[in-house]
Amino acid sequence: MNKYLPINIENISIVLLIMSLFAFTTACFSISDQQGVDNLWREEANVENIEEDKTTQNEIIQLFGPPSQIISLENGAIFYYLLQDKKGKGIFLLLFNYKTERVSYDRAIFFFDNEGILTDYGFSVENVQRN
Amino acid sequence: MPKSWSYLLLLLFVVTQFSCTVISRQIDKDKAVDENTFELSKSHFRDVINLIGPPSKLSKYDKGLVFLYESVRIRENQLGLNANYDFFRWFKFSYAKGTAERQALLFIFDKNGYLVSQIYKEFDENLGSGQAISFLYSIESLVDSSTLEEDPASLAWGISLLAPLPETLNYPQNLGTGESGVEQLGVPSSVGQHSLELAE
Repeated sequence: MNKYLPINIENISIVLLIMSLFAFTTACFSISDQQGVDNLWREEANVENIEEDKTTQNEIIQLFGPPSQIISLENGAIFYYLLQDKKGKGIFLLLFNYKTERVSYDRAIFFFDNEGILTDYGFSVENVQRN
Repeated sequence: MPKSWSYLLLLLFVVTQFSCTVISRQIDKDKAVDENTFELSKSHFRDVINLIGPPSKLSKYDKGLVFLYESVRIRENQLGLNANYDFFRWFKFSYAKGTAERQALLFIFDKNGYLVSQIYKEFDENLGSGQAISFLYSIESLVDSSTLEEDPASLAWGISLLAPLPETLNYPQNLGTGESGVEQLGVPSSVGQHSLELAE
């Protein structure tokens, strides 16, 4: 018998029993979900022509679609675009179970004056990959 | 009985009798900034957006604006005990305890867009505990953290059309529309501007 690898029926049975225990009692899962508008502001072609004091509300809407939220101000308006990304995973090992979820946001914001001309804009530092 | 079998039986006993579960959830990223990053009366809201991006929530406020950045990390630890007896072998008795690590960053701007006030705060919140009897093969949260996990109001406009009448009537004061101010996650639904919504 090999002293470094003692192979006998008893040890093989134990290994098979442990393997079958894990095979029938463990599970893992993964979830992914996105809500909100398409983050078209991540495409270079869509943002390269945006200019403060020049681009209009209409041009922004044509580029990115209807905003998630429009806030009217005394001296203008805000277009707020939002994409929510949820990703989760978990593992079920009977003795130890683990479930984790991360919610990330990709946002774009545009400020307009009373004439509907863009005054300021910005995007999230984080970038969410569209599914 | 061989010694190795004894260990195996002990392992089986532990596996079938006890279990622990960790549930965690991270909502948005922390936007911590040094208090000297932005200067009162000098920094404009465009400086804030250029550095840390658009806020989690914003609203007009007086004649200016308010930006609120929030992030939350919820962690729930559960200990489960399985009664390995007859019918009860398919259920586990669980005890859970939850905590939330929160960060909030608030900016208030005047009518010209210049910073008039800012505050950053990190704090921990005790989410309490919960007990349950559940099916053995399940991972369910037993701690109520729903008020910290609310989706942004702009993603709920459809379902908001079906809100109860008191809530609908008070929509002009809604803190998620960007017209009436902002509120942090976790605020109970029966205080402040929510009072008139008669929420339970």
